[in-house]
Amino acid sequence: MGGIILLLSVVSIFWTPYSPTQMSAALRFKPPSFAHIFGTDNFGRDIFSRVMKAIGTSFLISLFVVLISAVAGILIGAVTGYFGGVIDAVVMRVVDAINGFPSILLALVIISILGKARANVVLALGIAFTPSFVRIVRGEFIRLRDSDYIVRARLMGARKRRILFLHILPNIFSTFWVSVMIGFNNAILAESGLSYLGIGVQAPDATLGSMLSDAQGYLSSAPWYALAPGLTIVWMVLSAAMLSEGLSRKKKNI
Amino acid sequence: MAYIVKKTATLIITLFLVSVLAFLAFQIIPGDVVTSILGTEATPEREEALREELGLDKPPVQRYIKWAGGVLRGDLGVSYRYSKNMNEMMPVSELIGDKLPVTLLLALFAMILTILFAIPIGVLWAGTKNKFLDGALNVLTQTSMAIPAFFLGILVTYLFGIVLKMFTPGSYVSYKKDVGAFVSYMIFPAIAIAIPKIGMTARFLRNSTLTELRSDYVRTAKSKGCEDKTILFKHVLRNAMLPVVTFIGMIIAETVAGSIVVEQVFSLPGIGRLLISSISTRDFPVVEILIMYITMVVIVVYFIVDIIYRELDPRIRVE
Repeated sequence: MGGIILLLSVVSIFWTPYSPTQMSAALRFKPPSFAHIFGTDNFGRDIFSRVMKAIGTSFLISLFVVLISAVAGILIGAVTGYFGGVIDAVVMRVVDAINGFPSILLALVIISILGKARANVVLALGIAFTPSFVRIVRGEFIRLRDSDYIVRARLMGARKRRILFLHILPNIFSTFWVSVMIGFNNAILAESGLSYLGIGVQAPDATLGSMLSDAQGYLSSAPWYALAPGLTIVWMVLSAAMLSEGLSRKKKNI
Repeated sequence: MAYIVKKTATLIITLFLVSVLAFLAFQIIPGDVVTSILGTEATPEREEALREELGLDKPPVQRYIKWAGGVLRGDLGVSYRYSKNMNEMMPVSELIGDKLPVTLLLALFAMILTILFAIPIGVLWAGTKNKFLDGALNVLTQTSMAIPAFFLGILVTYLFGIVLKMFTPGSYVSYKKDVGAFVSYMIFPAIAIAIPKIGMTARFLRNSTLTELRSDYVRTAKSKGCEDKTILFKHVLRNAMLPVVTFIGMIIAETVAGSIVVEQVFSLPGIGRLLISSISTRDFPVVEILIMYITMVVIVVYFIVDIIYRELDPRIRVE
């Protein structure tokens, strides 16, 4: 399932069946057919081509969001979890405060400060998702920092950087992957939410969220217009969820 | 009692920190507010006058004290965008006034629906030995969590509004005019928000019930000859519900966020739409106050959940 999404988004970089921005008055609101498998929209654009492009956009943004928040989460979580002390206490208060805040709202605030642009969407969501990674990484580092093999590595005189990133980090990856997939899920949902509200990626670039918000006005005359991007989001999220469930099951077997 | 005092102190400190952050965050923004209100054609004297009127000529700390003092006294400042008439600027409090109850009621309705459905479903799911029902609930809840709130809103509009004609999309009636019509319209956005939360909560309750079912006291009860039903309802559920209380507290924050998006779908005149439009027009006094309000609701809910949790679980109270 996830494979199809990945394939579609890669192919969309080179080729879409029709141009995603080509408008045509004659082709307005054609229901799904062999020529246009998802039908056409209010400007006569091919919905399938637009969905393909939008998957690519949404996929890339979510990927970068997870990358930023996971790396930041590892760095902050590793340091606070391993060393503890005052920094840990301060950072955790901040993390708690941000965690209590709905992530889409936080992203809205950050975007309103930085302005609407694709890079700002990534940055805003990246910041909003960091605390959950910090929490997980920190917990794992606390659990492992006093285990026998780490104590021994310390006795052998290993440097702190070596202990943190070569001895502890590889051991938390199985737990970490599951939360990366969950984060990816939330990133897809949050990105489409933002672009639905008109605060994410701007027109004329197609995003699943903005297509849905356009489609909403034509719900009674062209229901297929809303269904295509909507179901695509569901599909993307479900395949990521299945992947994370598979990963956590694999982890339990080890 | 000492616990509640301590909690209240934390609550006040957190609110203070949030207010400082909400205020300062909007001070570092590039671009001059005065130019954006008056346009680039305005005379320097006119700009100076407006800057003084808005208090923008003073340093940030002084402005924060003035702003926070005003908020505590109920003076929420004025909007940069909306005006009452030609000479008077629109106070933020008037702008928010009747919009806040709409959002809070929506979140409340969604919460009630969630609790009403999630708990029976979760218990039924944990108790069932039927493989088919187990699988069906698994797929259903998983799918419900994958649907974004706004798409769910569109689906609800299509199904109940256009196909079944149970309501007319966009025909919102204010609660001040007709409470019945208000509730019967609000029920649909509430459904859209509640469905994923029902899925999540039911899954969570099922898992915590299954964990409890494996514990020693269940075996003891069974060996004494207790019926399965009695064990589930009298012994297990009391314990399994505890983590669920915390969980529900957590999803209240998400429900409030969900209402912001869903308001847009159903064109409800709540604070969510005001927030979105204020962000787009860079009307920062309104954004600051709205953030304060939303955070306050979320923090207060957490506060209440913590206290309920303590009341429910005597084990925490002892230490």
